[in-house]
Amino acid sequence: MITQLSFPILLISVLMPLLLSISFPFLGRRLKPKKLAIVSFILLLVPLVTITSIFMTPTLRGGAVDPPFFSHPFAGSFSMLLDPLSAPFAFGIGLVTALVALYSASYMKHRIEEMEHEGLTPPSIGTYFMLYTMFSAAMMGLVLSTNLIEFYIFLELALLPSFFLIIWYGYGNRIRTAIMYLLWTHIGGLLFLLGVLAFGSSTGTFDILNMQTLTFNVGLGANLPIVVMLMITIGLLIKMAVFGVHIWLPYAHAEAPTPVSALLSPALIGISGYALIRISYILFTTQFQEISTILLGLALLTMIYGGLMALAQDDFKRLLAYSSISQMGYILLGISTLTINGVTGGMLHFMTHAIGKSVLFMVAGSLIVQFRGLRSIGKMGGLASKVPITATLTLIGFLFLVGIPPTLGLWSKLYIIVGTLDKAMAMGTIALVLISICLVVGAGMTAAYSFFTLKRIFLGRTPRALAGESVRGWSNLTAVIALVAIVGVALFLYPAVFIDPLKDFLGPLLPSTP
Amino acid sequence: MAGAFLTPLVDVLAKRMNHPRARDYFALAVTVGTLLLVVDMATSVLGGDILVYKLGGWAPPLGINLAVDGLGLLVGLIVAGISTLVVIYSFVFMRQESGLGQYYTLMLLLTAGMMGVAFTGDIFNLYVFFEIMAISSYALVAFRRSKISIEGAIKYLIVGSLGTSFILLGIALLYGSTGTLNIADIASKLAVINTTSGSTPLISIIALTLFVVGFGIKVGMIPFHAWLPDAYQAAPSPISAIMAGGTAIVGVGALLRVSYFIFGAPMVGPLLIGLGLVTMVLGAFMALVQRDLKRLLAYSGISQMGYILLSIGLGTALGITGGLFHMLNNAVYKSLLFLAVGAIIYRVKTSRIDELGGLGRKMPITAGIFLVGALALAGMPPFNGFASKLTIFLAGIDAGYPILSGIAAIISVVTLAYMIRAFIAVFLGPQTGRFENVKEAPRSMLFPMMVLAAVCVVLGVLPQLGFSAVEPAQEVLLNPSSYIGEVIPGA
Repeated sequence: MITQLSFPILLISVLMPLLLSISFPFLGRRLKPKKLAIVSFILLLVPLVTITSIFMTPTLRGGAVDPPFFSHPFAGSFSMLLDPLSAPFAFGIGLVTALVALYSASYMKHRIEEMEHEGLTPPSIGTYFMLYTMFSAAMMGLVLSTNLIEFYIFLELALLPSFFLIIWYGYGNRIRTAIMYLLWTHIGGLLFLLGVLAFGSSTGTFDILNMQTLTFNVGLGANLPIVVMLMITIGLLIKMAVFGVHIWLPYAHAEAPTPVSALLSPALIGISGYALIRISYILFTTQFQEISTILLGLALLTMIYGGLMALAQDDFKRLLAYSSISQMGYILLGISTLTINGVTGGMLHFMTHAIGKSVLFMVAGSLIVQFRGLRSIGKMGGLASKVPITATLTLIGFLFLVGIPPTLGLWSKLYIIVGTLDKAMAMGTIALVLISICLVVGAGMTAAYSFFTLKRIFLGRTPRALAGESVRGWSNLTAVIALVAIVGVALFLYPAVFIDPLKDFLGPLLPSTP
Repeated sequence: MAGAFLTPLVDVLAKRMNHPRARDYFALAVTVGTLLLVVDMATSVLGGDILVYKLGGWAPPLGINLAVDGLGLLVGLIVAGISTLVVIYSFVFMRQESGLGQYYTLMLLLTAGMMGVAFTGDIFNLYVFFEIMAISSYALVAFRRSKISIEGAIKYLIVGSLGTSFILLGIALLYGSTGTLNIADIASKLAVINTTSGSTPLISIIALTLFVVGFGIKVGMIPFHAWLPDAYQAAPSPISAIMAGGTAIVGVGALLRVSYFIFGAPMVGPLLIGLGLVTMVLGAFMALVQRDLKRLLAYSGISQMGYILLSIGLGTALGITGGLFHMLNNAVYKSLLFLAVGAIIYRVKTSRIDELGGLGRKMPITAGIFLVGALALAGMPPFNGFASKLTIFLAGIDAGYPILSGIAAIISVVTLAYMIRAFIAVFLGPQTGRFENVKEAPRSMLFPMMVLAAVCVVLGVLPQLGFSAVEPAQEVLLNPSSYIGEVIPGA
């Protein structure tokens, strides 16, 4: 049951950071980076607190929607919806964006100093926080959208700031990387938009949620040619960087400034997984079922490919980027099963991945800061003795990805695997054997790249170049990372908060499993 | 209310009254006055009225009349707004030039011509105003008297006069077959001819072709575009802005007025779609390879014109709305971009992309404004280009041509690519030593740019405003009979 709120609190909580972020370049002249980070953190805390308190209210747990803030005869009504499906996403994004904002201050100070040392003049840190906050708020708006056009607008609003973050503060050949990122995802977005327009022009509405009856327009596109659904889905898959259209991701995510990688990598691409259910599945139920087997194959391929490529990387951030591709494979796998367990696991895995991967990227960032731009794993070794807390946090981050207690990863992987096996059993013996093999290989590979990396970075002998390196105190960096990890561990203990409503929500939507 | 229609005439008279000191402010006063009068008319026209003023009190079809309908108003509004801003911009930009008396005179003449084309109800008068507009713009392109501007102007002059003579020939053919020069009268008589003979006579088809080629030259439709990049590059930047944001729009307006009113949508549609498609695609790819900022913008203007023609050619209400809205938006951001490039030229003295770089630090406001224009042009939310491009895509799908929307979307990616490339090349990257002492553009140049940038954002965030501005124009195009009835009671 979706309840309509009398006051557009969700909208306000998203627009507040989005609009107020414009003041950062001006604030940046007066305040120190740390203060800016705190302002940005507080702004981003607003949506986090709002969604948490709404979701924690038992009467609103079935879903809460704002009164529509914009209505147009052909565009439909724009509103904001928090329901069991969007809750894990909204919470994951809220948590990560708010805490990474705190992390950004010291990191970006270092990055800007480094760039000035190279003779470059990047825009001020105030501009960074403006773009960062816009990016974060746009992602939040994306997840809460109830209208296809609204969704697309937020999609582009998230794309633009992230583009500028890469082009201004990125590493390596950042201009080329940024343009590649912009064009690939813009093409994905436009493909999605064309599909959406075709859908809207023949069904007469762009609403995902019917604002009069407060029910979803389930299967509204059932009579449309499958091409429309394919356009929307492929558009989303490009943004999700599944195998075949993943080329842009390792560049963009590895070369972005590290706090931005921590958002780009788990959060932005994972949202596509959410949209696959919210848009592709809900609006095109039957067509989506028809292609679900293909998606399953694609998911397994993405999972294994990402894992293999991650094993072959030397650059820590690039490794994490490929690992993201692999984890997207898991999310897509859960979705493509279309079983309650699988989809629940897929949605939950977004949160797992958001927490785990942001912890890992932040760790990579603090290594960069502590060891002067060190990213190559081959040059690391034995760092556990120098930075024990960082080492522990890295371990926890990898535990999230591998799915070992005490992390939320256990639950999400468990659900995905159970769901996949349910589906595989329904498909026959051969499929069961093949899929099981893939699952084992995939899981093994995740474990392999996780623990090998851990060993190569933190154990063994310290290279001579690093031996004499004195480590500066970065307690505030590690504190933030630890906080993210702690929330993830807490969710391991109480996963039911998200799982139970999700199951109740998905139950009537999904085809009954044999 | 009737006094409003004298505006073009006042503008024509203005050239007699040049006092050296006062002329800047006089020019400003005239354009502001024009703008205010148009805004004044807007309230009643947007309410659904059509204003008719009979010159000398002679009743049409014999007398000459001015008629302001939704389409005329939309074009008039764009022209008056942009002229005003460009005059303000010119104060500083043109300060070092000599012969400013001629400059402002020509500018006002140009504005007068444009307003005349927008408002006239008589097809021969349309030609006359069109020539006024054309001749003053030839002179303005050649204003700098350098080799490149003379060459651009001569090219423009030759191709342009070819275009206007085509139009004149078309008018002659129409007059020969209907015996009248009043637009409303021609339309109703042609309709009678078509119904009695059961088919469209060859002569109207020839006339239509002449009109499409004639106006097509003016708006830079491919394959009649060769003059445009040269002329835009050669002209002083404010003139490029007024040509991109005004003249081209007036050309579209006149093309629509003549083709839709006189010949009707079914006949023109496929032609416009075909030409629009070619224009859109080739323009964008040509823009991709340009090495001069102004040429890049010129080709991108051609490409955007393709979007407009394509969308209007669809002939559906949504398509026309999208096309007209895009026309409005294009006028805003294209003149914005030309003014921004003008600011760069003013400070750096070059517009070659290879020579520029790292200007973002020195001219942050110009950079920001250019970025707004570039993103609006590429159709990114929350800027105005997004709303109109969205409408165009939707119209294509709605009219049963999803492939057109697909191509338009691909070209949109190309647009984004060349604008971002330009932005990066000009404002980002390492600074060259040459630009050590470059300063931000002067305030009176920034002000018009800021106004236009604000319009980009406002129309993007509140697209309803834009839709309600183009609604009456769209109604007029789809249903010319109300216009005819208003001009010639009882027809």
